[in-house]
Amino acid sequence: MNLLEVSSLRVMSPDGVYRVRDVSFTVAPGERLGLIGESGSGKSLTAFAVIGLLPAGLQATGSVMLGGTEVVGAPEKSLVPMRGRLCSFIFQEPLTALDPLMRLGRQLAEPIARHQGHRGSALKRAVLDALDEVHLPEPERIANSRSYEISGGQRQRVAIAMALACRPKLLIADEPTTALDVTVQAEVLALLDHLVGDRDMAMIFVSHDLAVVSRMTDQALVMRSGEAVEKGSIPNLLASPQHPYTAEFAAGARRTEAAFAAALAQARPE
Amino acid sequence: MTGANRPATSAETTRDGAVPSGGRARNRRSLALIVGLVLVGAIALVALLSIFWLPFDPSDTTGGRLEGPGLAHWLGTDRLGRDLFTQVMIGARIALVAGIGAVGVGAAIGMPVGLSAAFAAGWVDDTMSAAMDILIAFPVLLLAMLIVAVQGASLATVTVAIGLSMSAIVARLTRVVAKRVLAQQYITAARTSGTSWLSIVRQHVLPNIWPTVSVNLASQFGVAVLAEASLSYLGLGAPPPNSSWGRLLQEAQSTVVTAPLGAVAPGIALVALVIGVNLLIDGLRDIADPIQN
Repeated sequence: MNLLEVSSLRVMSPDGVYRVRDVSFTVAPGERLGLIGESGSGKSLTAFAVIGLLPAGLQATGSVMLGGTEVVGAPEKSLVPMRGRLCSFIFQEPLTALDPLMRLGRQLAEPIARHQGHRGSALKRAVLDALDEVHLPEPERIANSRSYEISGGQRQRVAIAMALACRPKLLIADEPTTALDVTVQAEVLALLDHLVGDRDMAMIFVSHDLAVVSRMTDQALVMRSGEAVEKGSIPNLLASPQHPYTAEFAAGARRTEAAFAAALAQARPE
Repeated sequence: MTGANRPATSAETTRDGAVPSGGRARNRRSLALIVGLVLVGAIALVALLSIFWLPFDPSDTTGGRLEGPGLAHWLGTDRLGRDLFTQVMIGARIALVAGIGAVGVGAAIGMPVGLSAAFAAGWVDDTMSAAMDILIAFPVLLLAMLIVAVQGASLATVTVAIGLSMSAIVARLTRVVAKRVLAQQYITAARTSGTSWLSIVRQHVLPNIWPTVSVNLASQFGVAVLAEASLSYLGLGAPPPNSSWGRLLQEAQSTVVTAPLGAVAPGIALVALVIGVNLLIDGLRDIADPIQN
């Protein structure tokens, strides 16, 4: 059985415009899928529709089966327990995705306590372990810091730790490295790849950058103005794009790849 | 060489330029905090003391009429021969009870209403906002007078009346700030991990609206103290012998030329409390706001 089955998903805005039109795809347990498109292509909305968290006013129709349960039209009450446990999110900008007033340790403790049932010193231990897992140096210090006191790459690692704390079966990463510089981006991608692989988690990786997606997934769905224009394996999309829109992404991907190679070459000798 | 020197120079300029001015601002702020603490602390101490000990019974009229300050009557007596210092002490208690009580009532009603409006989109929000705006259109004093006129004058009525009149202001502010917080991505992030709305309100919304709302509540305290004094001045406050500063002012009015202290003492106490609270808020806000620091 598929972990996620999206069929004929449509998302309509209050003015009657379809922001996502007839998008269908499936994700099996442990499978990875890239969602590629420029901004406004509906890729993020598609991702949010998967857990029934569309911005106010937007209406989803069609079907989203997550872990065997229909999400579209489901009441909030039945969706809350599914979120985190079945599927969790990583956002583009970790600075805004973390509460500035709450110490990071406490923020991380919240999903850990809820999903793993730890309390007291066991919870504190689990929080530090979770920070250690995402290769953060000095977990104690990070746990006692607030989001604006640490660097962008460190923040995104904390956000990853929070998303993984729920032990989800599916991880949705919405442009998780776009806000980071290239060197940090490569490190965070490698970490994410390794963590998701270790846990046999499924992943939907949303990005406007085919090169970044190609590091994380084999399959990708290319979206444009709310529609899926092409779906296939990434080597195929890169080598022989069927749609001119995909071809643009393939060209962009080669440029990014070169930047990555340069950044890694610089980073390695140290 | 120049390339190596430049960052050092610019670092020095910022160090020289930024720290002293930041230090001055900090000193001014901590001075405000200290003055505020002293004023409010002194009045609070006097109010607390008045519960256990008073120099005279407030209805004791055995003193001479309109005596000047002396060893027996520190601030003199009023036209009925009652000790003025005793009355100012009781007034301090009444001012604090009315201020804290009114702000408490205002927050207890205003914050839940404002939060609900922020959550409820569409016509519910519009209706609630319109109701708030209509209530805010009436001055706090007028609304409170209306309630007191119906319910009869007592400290409790005055306090609740002022609190009720303030709740609309608190609700409107809470709504705006909560709406802004709810639009933040960390709220969405918390929802994606399956946090319930109740925990989101408790863990994210309340802490993030509190810096703004608490400053407003604290400044409403000054407004409430003044409103209570005004209502008492008009004879709508706590009945004698437990007179508030407003009533003392009103009673001393006819003898203000012959015995000015009767009006000056409660007047200074009132001003000291309101200014003290405002200075205290200024000082505390800068300490409490971690982002600004």
